[in-house]
Amino acid sequence: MNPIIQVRGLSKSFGKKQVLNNIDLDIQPGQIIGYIGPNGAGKSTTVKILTALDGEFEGEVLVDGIDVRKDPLAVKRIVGYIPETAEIYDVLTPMDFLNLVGNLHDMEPEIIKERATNMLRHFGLEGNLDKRMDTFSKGMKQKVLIISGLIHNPKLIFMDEPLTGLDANTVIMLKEIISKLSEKGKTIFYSSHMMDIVEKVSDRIILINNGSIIADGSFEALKQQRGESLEKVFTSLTGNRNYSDKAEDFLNAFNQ
Amino acid sequence: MNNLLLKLVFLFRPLFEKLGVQTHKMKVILDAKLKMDSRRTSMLTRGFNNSKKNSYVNIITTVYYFIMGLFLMVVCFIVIEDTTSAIAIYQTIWIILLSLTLISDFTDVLIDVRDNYILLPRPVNDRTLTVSRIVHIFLYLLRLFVPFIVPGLIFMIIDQGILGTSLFLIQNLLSVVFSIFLVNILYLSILKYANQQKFKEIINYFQISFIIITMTIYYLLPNLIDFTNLEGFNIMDNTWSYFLPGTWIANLWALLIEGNFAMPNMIMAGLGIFVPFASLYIIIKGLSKDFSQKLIGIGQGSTEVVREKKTEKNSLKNWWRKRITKVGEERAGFDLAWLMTARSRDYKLRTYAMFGFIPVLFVYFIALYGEGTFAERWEALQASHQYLFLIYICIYSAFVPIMNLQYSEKFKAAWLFQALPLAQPGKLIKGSVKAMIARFVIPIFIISTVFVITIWGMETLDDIIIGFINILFICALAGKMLLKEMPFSQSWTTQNKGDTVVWSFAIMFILGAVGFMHWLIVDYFLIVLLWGILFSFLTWWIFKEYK
Repeated sequence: MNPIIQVRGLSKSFGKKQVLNNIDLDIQPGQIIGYIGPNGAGKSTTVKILTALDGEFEGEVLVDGIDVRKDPLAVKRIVGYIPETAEIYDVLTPMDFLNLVGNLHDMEPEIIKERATNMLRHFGLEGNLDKRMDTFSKGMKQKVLIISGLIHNPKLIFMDEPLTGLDANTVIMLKEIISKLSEKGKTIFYSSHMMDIVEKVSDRIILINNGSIIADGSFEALKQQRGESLEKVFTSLTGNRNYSDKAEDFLNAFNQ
Repeated sequence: MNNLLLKLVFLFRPLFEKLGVQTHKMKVILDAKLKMDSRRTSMLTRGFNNSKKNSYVNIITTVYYFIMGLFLMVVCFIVIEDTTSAIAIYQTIWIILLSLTLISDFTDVLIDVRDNYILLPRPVNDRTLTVSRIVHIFLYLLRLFVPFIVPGLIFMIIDQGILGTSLFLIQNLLSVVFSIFLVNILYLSILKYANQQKFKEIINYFQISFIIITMTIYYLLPNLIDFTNLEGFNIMDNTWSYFLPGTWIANLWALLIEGNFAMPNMIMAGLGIFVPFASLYIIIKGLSKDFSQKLIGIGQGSTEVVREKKTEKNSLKNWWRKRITKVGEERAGFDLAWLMTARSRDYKLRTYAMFGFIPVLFVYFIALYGEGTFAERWEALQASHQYLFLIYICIYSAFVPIMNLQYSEKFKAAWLFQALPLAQPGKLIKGSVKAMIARFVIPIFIISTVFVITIWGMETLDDIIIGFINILFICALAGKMLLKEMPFSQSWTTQNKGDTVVWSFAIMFILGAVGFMHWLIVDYFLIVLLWGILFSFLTWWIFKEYK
């Protein structure tokens, strides 16, 4: 099978600062990728390039065999993007919003309506279809955002901290949705800082630091090399190992 | 209404398609944006808890723009005899008004950062996004400015008939296109050199200057225009006017209606058609790609450190805080108020703009005083007591900053005050009032003093001192009476609650009384002295009462 994402020699810099440094990456369809790294490591920059939002980089990036710079629209057609910040036109209702999104994906009006209604209902929002989202809680907005990323049945889905604000039941449901999507051959690119969730959800974990991939493999493989939890793997690769000492130092500040 | 507008817009569908726009997608984007606009206005009311107040605000803006349009119509078409010149002036002012409005009010319409997350990841091409954006701005402006255009149009129908009115309408639209282009270029060039934070800051200063300019024009223009000379005014007599886009657009009139085929008119008229269309072309063809790319950049946090640290120890703030505040809550309040008022954009927009009154009043009371030649006026001024106005003008730099202290966009951050074990919250407020005095009142007072001493000499020194004491007294009183809540803890939408309004009027009244008393006793040194002692004591006492 052809990889859905092929990256060769990807580099990018803002002014003098090198954000991405010669990244190579192949991702097969149906994989759930846990994409992790410290703040400022270059995670969101990679996602922007892979979703064809940002065409200013060096190297070659193919998504489903399409060059993201040559035909960004074709890439955007098969990509679903769920951004981290709950940015949403919140004076619209969920139906207004999903109608906008569905139309931008050239979906038939009846299909948009049906899918949006069903998906919202499954998330428990059936009573809020036509209420403005400015009255919604963070979790409710997040649900609408998740639907807006999935409604056009994309092949490749990017999620950035998708669990923000969701209650425990919805978290369980979303995890199930993710694994079922992958069974159907969808590829999911999941970035988060919550290691315990990434650990459970992903088939493959990619750790990026200072613009380079410093670890790549299944959780099992990483565990054998570096320690029993993803958290431990993460800190051992990206930071100081002695967080216990650091915590001690932190508390010692009281003695001064 | 929205549907009708959309239908009108899509009369141009073939044109859009030719430009490479995905018209179906443009339609849904515009539909959503217009929906948001019409809901956003009613959003305002949520803070007020009643929708009546909002429709009230809408009526006021409508009436305001109508009166402005009426005024401009009278100045241009009734006073100036030559129609082309009248239109030139009209269009020039119209372009200025549009550009300033675009800059000051509608950054959200021009650049909505949420588009980054919602529209850009979808399969929509740049051309579609740009054209939708421009059409959206266009519709927004038209809807807003209908009451402004109406008086001019009515005059045209009566005076020139249908043909002239249609041309005039087209001219107005050309000006709108040109203004949108102007502001786009401005934004792009600012975005080129500034990150998002700085961009917002620069726009903030534009907004502040816009308010100041409007106020200045509002107060001073009627005094400055010499209406008698306007009658025979001809725009083409002035070379400078050849460079005004308003003149170019106006010359379409000279050409098409008056049949004036002189060379300069023809060239101008040509520019009048060519420039707006060329600018449309540039925005759509040339700038689309650029703009989308820049928009993405806006979301990207740059890693540079925003503010380099000044040498903290020698700053003005530190000089003052050591001298006028006590350690503890008071100093904390001082620091908080000093830093927040220097950095939060919402506070600056609402406060600094008020400082615009100071130069306006200065001109009003001093520069425009008396009649006759400059020397005569200078003499009259020196003989007058106008310096009292100059001294008390700087109350503007005290009153608004203090009153606005309790409001902030980030009012939720005030949980801090609830979480802290504050025994005497009043001390914190006292510190913040002192910060306002040190930061705004004293510098402006010093400037006024320099003017007063230069014009009236050293014998006004006792008045200056008394004036200063009185101003401090008013500041202390205003802080005590108006600041019922902790600094920066209230939303701006709760501004002007009954209580505050009453008190601010009361304090304005007290200020008037104090100023009037000052004027009465100005020549009696002994009373002035007693007054000074009494009010120093009162000020000290009020400050002691902050608990």
